[in-house]
Amino acid sequence: MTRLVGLYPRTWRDRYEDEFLALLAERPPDALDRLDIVRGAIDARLHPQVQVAPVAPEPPIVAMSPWPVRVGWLTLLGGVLWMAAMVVAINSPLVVYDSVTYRDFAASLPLLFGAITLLGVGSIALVLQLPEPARAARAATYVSSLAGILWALAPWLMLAGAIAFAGLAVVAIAAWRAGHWSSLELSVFISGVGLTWGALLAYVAGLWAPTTPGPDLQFLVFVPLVAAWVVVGTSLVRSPRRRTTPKPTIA
Amino acid sequence: MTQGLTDFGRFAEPSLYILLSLSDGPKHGYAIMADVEEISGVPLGPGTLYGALARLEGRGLIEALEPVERRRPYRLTALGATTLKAQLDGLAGFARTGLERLREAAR
Repeated sequence: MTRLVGLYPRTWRDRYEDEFLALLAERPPDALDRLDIVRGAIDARLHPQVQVAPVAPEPPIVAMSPWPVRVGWLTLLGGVLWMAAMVVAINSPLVVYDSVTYRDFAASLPLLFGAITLLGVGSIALVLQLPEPARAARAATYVSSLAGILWALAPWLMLAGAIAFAGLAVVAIAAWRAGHWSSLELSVFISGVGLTWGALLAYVAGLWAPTTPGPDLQFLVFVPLVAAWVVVGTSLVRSPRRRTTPKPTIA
Repeated sequence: MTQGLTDFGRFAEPSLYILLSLSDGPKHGYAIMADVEEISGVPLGPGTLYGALARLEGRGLIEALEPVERRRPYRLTALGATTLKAQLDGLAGFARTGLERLREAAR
């Protein structure tokens, strides 16, 4: 029976198929009815009474606002600043102090501060797009932003950095659950953030140590974090293009 | 006979039957089919029924209600009731004229 109903155009089926099949289940069609259904399908194709609305429904005001897009671009700029900070840090002068060699990355601090601040702004813009109430995500993003600023001011406070990205992970999962992020976006975010903080956690716990320790490795390990800026930024930039499928209407 | 529904083509007469069927309250597809068959003595095929329903709904003469166990009832709108009354008035005049002429011819 569904084969016969399949003769009708998609828009007609979207509107009537369920009730039409219920009718046919209630009154099984004989040969004449089957012929009538075929005639009805031809008519529906030649004279469509049901059409998809020509004008797409208005998207939410938040999505149409240019601000999320602008914040998205700023967040992506933050990602560029983050990478620039890593480049500057890796090229910072070597300092030998008490037989320990390290790089004086003070020159990269303004870049780090700018990058982390922009990520905080991006995460706030992202959480504001989530459907109400999203209390956990909102609380997480504010804690994350404050912890991020603290980390940007004092990069040696690794716990602040960990809290900042843990909070951001809560926002990421909320965005995915709300349908704002795809599984790919969430995977990229978790991979990048997880790689960095996983390596650091393993190092602190004594589970992992670099085979060739060097002063640059402490910066290279933070490079995958750029995934956070990329995913948050691109999701905000793309937000106005997220559209719902128009429902069929009667013409 | 079905002036006002003439652009419905072959669906004009079934549409009038459907309007009449819905005049005493909302009905779903199967109930409409059974009622129309009782009114007209002619079975209404499912393809014709839904071709007519789509046209009537598109014209705003009937409206769909929330489905109950996949069966969606339809209801006559105010415009549908006005259209049906106009149709029936036309039919009444048509019948009256025909009967008068028959009476005159019998004298």
